Amino acid sequence: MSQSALLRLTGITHDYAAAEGEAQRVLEDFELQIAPGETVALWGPSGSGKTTILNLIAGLLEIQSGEVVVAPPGESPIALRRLDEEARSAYRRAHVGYVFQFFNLIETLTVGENIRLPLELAAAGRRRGGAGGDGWASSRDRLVALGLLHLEHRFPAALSGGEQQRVAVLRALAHRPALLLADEPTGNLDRANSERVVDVLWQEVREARTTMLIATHSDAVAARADRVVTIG
Amino acid sequence: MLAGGLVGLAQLRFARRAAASLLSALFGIAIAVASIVGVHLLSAEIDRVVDRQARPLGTIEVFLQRDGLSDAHYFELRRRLRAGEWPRVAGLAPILEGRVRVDGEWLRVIGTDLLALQTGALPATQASGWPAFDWERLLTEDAIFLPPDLLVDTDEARIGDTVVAVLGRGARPGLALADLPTTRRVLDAQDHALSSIGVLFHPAPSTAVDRLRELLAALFPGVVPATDPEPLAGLSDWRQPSVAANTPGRKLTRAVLFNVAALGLLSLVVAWLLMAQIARHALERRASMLDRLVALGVSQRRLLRRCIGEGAVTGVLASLAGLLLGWWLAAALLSAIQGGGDVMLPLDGWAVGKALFSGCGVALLGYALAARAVLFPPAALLLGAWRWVLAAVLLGAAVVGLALPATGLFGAFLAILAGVLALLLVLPLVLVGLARASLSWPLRLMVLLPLRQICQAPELRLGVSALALALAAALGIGSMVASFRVAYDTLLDARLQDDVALEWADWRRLGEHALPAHVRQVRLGSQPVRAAGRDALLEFAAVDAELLERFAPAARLAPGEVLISEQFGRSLNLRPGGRLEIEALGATHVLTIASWFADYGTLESRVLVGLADARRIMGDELRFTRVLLDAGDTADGSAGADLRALLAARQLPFEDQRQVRDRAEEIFDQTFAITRALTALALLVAALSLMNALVALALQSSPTGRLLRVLGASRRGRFAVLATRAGSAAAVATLLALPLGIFIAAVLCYVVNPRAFGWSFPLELTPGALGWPLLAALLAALASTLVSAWRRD
Repeated sequence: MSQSALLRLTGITHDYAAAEGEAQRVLEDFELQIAPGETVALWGPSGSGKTTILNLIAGLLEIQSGEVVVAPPGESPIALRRLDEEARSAYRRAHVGYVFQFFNLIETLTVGENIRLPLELAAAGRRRGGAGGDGWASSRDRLVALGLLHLEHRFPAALSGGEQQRVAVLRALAHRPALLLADEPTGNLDRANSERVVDVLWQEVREARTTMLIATHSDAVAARADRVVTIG
Repeated sequence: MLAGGLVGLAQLRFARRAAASLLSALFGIAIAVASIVGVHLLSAEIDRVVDRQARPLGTIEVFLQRDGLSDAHYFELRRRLRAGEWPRVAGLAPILEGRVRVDGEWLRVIGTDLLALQTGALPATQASGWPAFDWERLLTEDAIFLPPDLLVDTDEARIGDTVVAVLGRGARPGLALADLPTTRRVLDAQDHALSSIGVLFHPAPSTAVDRLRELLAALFPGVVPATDPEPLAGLSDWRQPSVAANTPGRKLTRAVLFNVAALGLLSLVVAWLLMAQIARHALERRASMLDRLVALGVSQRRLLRRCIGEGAVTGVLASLAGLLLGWWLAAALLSAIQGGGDVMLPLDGWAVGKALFSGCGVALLGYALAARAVLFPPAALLLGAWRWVLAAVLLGAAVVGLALPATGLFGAFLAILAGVLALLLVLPLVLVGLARASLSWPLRLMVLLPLRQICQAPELRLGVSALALALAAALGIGSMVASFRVAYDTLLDARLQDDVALEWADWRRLGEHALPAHVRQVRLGSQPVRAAGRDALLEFAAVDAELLERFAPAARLAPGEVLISEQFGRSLNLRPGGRLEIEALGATHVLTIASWFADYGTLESRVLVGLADARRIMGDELRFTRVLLDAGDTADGSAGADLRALLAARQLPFEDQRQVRDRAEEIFDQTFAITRALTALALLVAALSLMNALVALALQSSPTGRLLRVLGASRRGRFAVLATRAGSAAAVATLLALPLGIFIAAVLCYVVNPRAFGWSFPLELTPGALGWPLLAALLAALASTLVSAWRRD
């Protein structure tokens, strides 16, 4: 791994069990390297394996072949293949933010609580107790900056799709992760809302100085990235 | 046709995917149906037995009684009957009854003029419990029918000084039957003496009300009381007790059956909540499929019919399973009540009908309402304000039911039902309120999250309601039974504090000075009198303090005062401080009622007086009837054992008070075995309901679980969310059940028991009565967590 890479995938091959009992290969010898602070778009058609790559990086899927190594600034590199489920959970709590296409927010928590949740989980993971502290203060500042503070005590059901995605971006960055993964974050939105969410995403990533890997099949979104990796 | 087949196929495949839910529904309804069927069969059997016991002489409805009754009175009444004075009356039968001791056991002997019963009372053997018999021998010899439990295995029996031929055995323990002359000889009674005259009525023309009553009696055996016939005219100086009044145990049994039937219905309500919840969940899961079918042109009404059809199939299957389970349950419980042995109960058409009606009704109603809610969503739910108003109206009805004694048991159970319905109405509002309040709770989000889920998930409300209802019932009934047990034990401690009891004649045979000096001897008397116009027992002792010590330890009794049993006082509204008229030996004495005393387990009217007053009332007729002997306490109980050995050596029959106590407690436990079993069934159904609701919620909230995983929540943390959710649901149900359960217990102790039986006892919230329902809630939560986790993974 080069000294400057924050994320490196080497020789990733991944199969899914098909209904007939045969394996269906979605990735073969996939390689990727991302430098700290870089924004990379993973561009490809549906079924090309974009979500699988993101899930492997997030530690949501077990690595079958190859290796994923993440090197958060100031910390030792983490080789995900060696981690068990609990360790991968701890890794996500500390270093990963994730934005989905939909179902991003927990319905029974308010906007403010949704944003505080990763902070609480991270704090609990560090056995420090408490929920938030400085992390929440800066997240609340971002809510103010984005004009979303009036939504703080509302439940997700009362928000529009665009508002939910913007809140999801803030939630994903609340605990200052080294790496933000976004899986088609605008796939469920109209054009105007899509542009607003992408604006917020890039603005917040820049603000947090976070590295981002975004899966998309939108040319417009891909064009905003520092680099585009095409698969499939 | 093809389209219809495919629509059905789509629904069938969906049902197969939801097999676990369907099985839960089937199981839950089957248990509820089993409760209903079990209660019906038990009630029918107990009612049959009680009816037979209450009617030793077949279809006699009323007894005519007066002081000094003799054959002359009987012949006079028969003359008036033949003169056409009472056209409703079919016949009269002279009756003499009394008690004798045979082989150390008390035997009730009834004698009658069998020729006078030719109208058909006695030969109705099925109703009276007597076998077909040889008329000629019964009329010409000293012959008798013995009870089935008397251990005399010969053709002859010695009763007192009389040897009688044994013609056969009846069905009722402790009861023998003979003709009048034989009975007089056996009882050593005066010639021409009678106890009462039985009245047989012509069958009355059946009115619509009678037919309705018969229908209800068949549908709810033991619950619908028989009506007493109108008193015969022109007999103002006669007492005319009905069979029911003459056998207070019948009233007691009916009250118990009423309670049990109410419990059976509770299981059905809980099962309905379970079914509605499962049906709603099943239909919501397939809502998208139903929407697509509607988009393809399938009418919503047709889909609704199909959903209802699915409910009907579920209902029929569950009903049949419940019918068999209930049949077995009733036999098992009856066997337990009788102290063992195989029991085979007849499965009547009413039981089958009730099973199908209950099971199918619950399933159809659950499915219909759920399908309607999913296919035709209402424009607006019942508004919160209206729920509060309705709950207030229900609580008003409860107050009316409790405050007006005239509403009887129905008023008391109406109050309980109103409380339950008010809880169900208010529960969603409470949950929504909790969700709102939780916005300011300083809890960790991983704790707050599951709490909010149970408050905001509509599918959980039914499950929580079912569990709250069953927990409240279990808590209420359990507390009532525990309170009764405490009060009953206190009574037994006082009444049975001595070692043995002897009949007065046996004690005289023994001789007062034959006993060791340390044996305490308490002489008690019990003589029949009329008190406040009712037959009563006058109780007294050689030493007043010894009487109080056994019957009313906390009471005081001054000269001119009486203590009366609580049920006697309640039935005639005789209050402490009031006056009581006691008639005996042709004179009337007025005494002041000092207080009531507890006298559980009997409906006899008892009056306690001091010895001086007893002498004033009974004069020369004052008789002591029993002597209690107490050898005093020793650590090893050897003094009592020595006393018993002494009496046994003298071949004196005695009543071992310790055995009486054991038997009394055994009967108490057997009596409440049905209650415990039905409460446990309701709890089981409710636990199933909660489990289904929580599993459904876990499946529905799988996106939340996925998000938590993405956010880095550990497996243990996610399991904790499930456990907190289940525990919170059980906790909410328990919190709601606590006030309702205590309310039910209080109504049962202070309203239902006084109205049904005439006695009351203080409510005791014992750890045991509270603990079992809480344990059930905890187990339901634990099972739900494990099943949810298993289904999630």
